[in-house]
Amino acid sequence: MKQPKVLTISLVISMILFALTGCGSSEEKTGTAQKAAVEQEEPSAESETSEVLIKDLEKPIVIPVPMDFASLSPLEDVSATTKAVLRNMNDSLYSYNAETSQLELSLAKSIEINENVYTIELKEGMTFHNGEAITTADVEYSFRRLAGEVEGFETSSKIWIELLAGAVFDIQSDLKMVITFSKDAVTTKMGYDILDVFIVPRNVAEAEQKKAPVGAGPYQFVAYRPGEEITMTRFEDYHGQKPEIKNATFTILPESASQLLAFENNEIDWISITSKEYATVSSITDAKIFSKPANDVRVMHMNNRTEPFNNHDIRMAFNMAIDKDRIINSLTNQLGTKLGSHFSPALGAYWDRSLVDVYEYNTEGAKAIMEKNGYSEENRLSVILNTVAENQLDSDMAILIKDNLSHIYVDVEIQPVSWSTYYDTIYTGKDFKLALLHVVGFPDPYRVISRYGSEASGNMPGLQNQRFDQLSESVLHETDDEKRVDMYFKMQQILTEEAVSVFIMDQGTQVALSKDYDHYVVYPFAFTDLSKITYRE
Amino acid sequence: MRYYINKLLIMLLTVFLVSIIVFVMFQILPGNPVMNKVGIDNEDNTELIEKLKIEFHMDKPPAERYIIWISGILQGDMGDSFGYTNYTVRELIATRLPTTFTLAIASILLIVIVSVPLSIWIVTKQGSRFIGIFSAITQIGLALPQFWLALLLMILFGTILRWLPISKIVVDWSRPLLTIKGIIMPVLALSIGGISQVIRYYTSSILVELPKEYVDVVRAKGTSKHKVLTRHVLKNAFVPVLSVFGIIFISVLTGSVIIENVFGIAGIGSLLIQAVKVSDYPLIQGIVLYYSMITVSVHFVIDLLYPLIDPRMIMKRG
Repeated sequence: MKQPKVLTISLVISMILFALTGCGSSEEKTGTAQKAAVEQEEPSAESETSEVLIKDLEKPIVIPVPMDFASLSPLEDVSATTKAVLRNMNDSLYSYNAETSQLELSLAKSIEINENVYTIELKEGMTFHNGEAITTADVEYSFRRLAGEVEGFETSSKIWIELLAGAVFDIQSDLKMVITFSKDAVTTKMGYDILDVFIVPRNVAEAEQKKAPVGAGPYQFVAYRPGEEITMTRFEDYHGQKPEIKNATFTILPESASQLLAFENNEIDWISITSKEYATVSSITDAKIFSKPANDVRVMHMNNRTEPFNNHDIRMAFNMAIDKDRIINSLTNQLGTKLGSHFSPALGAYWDRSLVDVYEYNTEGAKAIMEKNGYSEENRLSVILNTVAENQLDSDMAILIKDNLSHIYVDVEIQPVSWSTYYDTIYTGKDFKLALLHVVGFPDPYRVISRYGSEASGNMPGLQNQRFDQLSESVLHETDDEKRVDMYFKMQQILTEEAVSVFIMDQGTQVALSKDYDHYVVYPFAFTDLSKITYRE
Repeated sequence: MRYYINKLLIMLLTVFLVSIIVFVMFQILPGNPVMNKVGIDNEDNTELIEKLKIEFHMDKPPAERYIIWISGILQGDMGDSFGYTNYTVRELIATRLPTTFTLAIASILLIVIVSVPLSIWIVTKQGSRFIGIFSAITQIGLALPQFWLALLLMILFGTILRWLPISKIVVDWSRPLLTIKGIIMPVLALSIGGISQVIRYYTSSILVELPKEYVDVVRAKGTSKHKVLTRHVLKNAFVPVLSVFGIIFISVLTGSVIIENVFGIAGIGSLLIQAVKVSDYPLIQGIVLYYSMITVSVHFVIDLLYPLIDPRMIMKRG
C-alpha cells in the first residue's frame, strides 16, 4: 500500500501547487508605480488618537470610493467615480466655480474669442507634476488626445473629434496660441467642452500615464494599489491656490453600510450619505454635513412612442397624480428639490423655477382625465415600471409612485433590472412603457437638455417637437447671455407643456466630513474636490 | 491508476463544459461592454464604438469568439480585460488570488481547528441538557447570512469594541500584524457557517459509528473511552465529512465574493463584482473558469485523500 500512498500524496501536492500557480510574484503586480511618499498610518480603531491626528498634518484625509479605477490615465476611464477622483490631479484651461456656477480661467491667463478664433495665453511659470513646463504644445496635444489622435489613448470624445475637424493650430510661442475652429463647429458651450480637457504633458507616453499619471492639478499621484487605494500628495508648485490638506487617500470600499461604519469608526473622513443615513451621521459627534442640489434629475420617463403615452392627456394625468412632495419628504428628509422640468436649481440662472408647480398634485383632476379617456375601475390601465435594480432610491420611489397611480385606475407592476440590462434594453432599445432613471447632470445646460432632441440617442421618452429642435440648434450659437437663458427657459417649458415625462426631483448631494475637516464644496458634476477642504479649527 | 486517469479526464471535461456554458451565458444575457467603456454621454462616437468592437472581437460570430478565447486559455492567455485598460485577465486574477486564498485557507484552518475538537466534545456530552443549546447554536450559525454576519462583526469589533479595523484591510505579509488584525473579521464571517456545518455532520457521523460492532470489540479489549474515540472512531467518522469539507472550501471561496465586497478587500470576489458591473466578459469568464477549475480540483483532491483515511476505498474502486 506504500506506493499508492506516495502517489496519492504526490498528486495532492501537485494539485495544490497547480492551484497556486495563479499566484503572482510581487514583480507581476502591475499598477503600483512610484514609492509612497507618505508613511501610511496603520488603521487604528482607537479614538483617542484624534487629538494627535489634528496636529499631524501628514495624516492623509481618507475618502472611500465604491469601485476600482479602470484606468488612471486622465479621461480614459469614463466612469463618474474615476473622474471625481482624478480631477484632483488634473487641471484645464478653465475651472468651474461652484459658488457662482461660472467658468473661470485656470491654466489660461486669457482666452479671447472672436467668432471661431480662440487666442489662448497661458500663465507663466507653470509646471506639470514632473517638473516640465506647461506649454501651448501640451495644450494642443491634450486637445488632440481627446479627439483620439494620440496612440494609446483609448477613449476619444465625439465632441472633440467634431471640434477639431478642420481646426488649425497656430503655436505662436510657448505661452500663446491661436486655434481657428471651423465655423460650424463653434458653439456657445465651448467653454464647458474646454473645461473637460485635462492638460497633460506631451512627453509622457500613454503607457506611463496609465501607471503613474502626470497632470497639472493641485494634487499629484503617489501610488496606486489596484483594488485597494490611490494616494496623492499636494503639488507644491501648483499655479493656483495651494490646498491646505497635504495628503489624501481614496480607498476602495464598495458597500455603503461598510462606509457608514468606517465613518463612525473614524477610519474614513468623508462620506456621501443618503437621506436614510442622514440621521445616523448627524448624531456622530462633530461630523459636519454639507448639502446642496446635486444637478441630478430623478425622472419617470413615459414612452411617448406607444400607447397609452402617445396620448398627451394620459401623460398629463400621470404628472398630476404623482405626489412629489411625499416622495421628497419620505425619501430625502426634505433635502430634495421638486422639479418641473429637466433642469435642477444647480444650474443657477438657467433653471426656470416657475415650472415646478405647473402640474400640482391633484388626484381628482388626474382621475377625471383618465375617465375622459375611457379608464375606470372596471377598465384599469396595467403598466410596467422599470427601475435600475442597483438604485435603492429609485426602488423606493417606485413603490410610492405605484401607490399614487393606483388611485387613478392604473395598476403598476414594478420591474427592477440590472443597469447593464436597463442600458441595453430600455435606455438604448427604448423598450419600455414607464421607466425611472437617475440622470446625472453636467454644468453645461446644453448637454443636460439636448438629450430630448428628436434625433438624440438619449431621447428616452421620444419627444418629437420641431420648436424644441430649433431652439436646441439656435442656443448653441446665441452669444447674448439673456437671450440664451430665455431659450433654455423655452426648452424647459416645452418639456413641461408636452408632459413628456414626470420630472420628480433633484435628490441633492449630502456629504459629511469627520471632525478633523471642514469646508467641502459640492459641484454639479462628479468631482470630490480636495483642494477646498480645510482642517477644522 | 485507471481510476485516477478517468477522474482527471472527467475533471477536464467538466471544465470544458463550464467554459461553454459561461461563454454562452454572456452571449444571451443583456449588457454591452462596448457602451460601458464608451460612456453614456459619448454614445454617438461611432468611430470609437466600431474600434472597440473589433478590439473586443464583438464583430465576430460567437463561435469564432469562443474559439479565440479557448485557444488563448489553452496557451495560458486569458485575454485582455474589457474594463481595465492596463491589465490582462491573467494579471488581474494573479494579483488578487493570494488575498482570496489567504482568506479561504485561514477560514478552512479555523473551521478545522474549532469544529473538530468541538464535535468530539459535543459527542462526549450526549445526554446532557446542553445538547439542545449546541444544536440551536449550530442551527443559527448555518442560518445567518454572511453579509449580515459581516456587518454584525464590524459593529461589534469595529465600532463598539474598537479592536479591529473596518476598512483598508490588506493581505500583505510584509506587515503580518496588520494583516492578521485585518483578516480576523472576514475570516470569522466566512467560517462560522462552515464550523456549524462541520459540527453537525461530524457529530452525526461519530454517533453513527459509535454503536458499530468494531467499537464494541475495541472496548472489550480494555481500550479507554478516549482512545476508542481518537484512535478508531474519529478516522472512520471523518470519511463522509471529507466531502463536506470540499463543499465548504468551495463555498468559502465563492462566499468571499460577498465578504470581500463588504470589507473592501481586493480579492477575486470583489474583482468579479467589479467585472459584472461593467460587463467585462473576459474577466468574468476568466474568474468563473478559474473557480470551476478550483472546484473540480478540490473534488479531485478529496477523492485522492479518501484512500489515505480509509484504504478500503482503493479496494472498492479496484
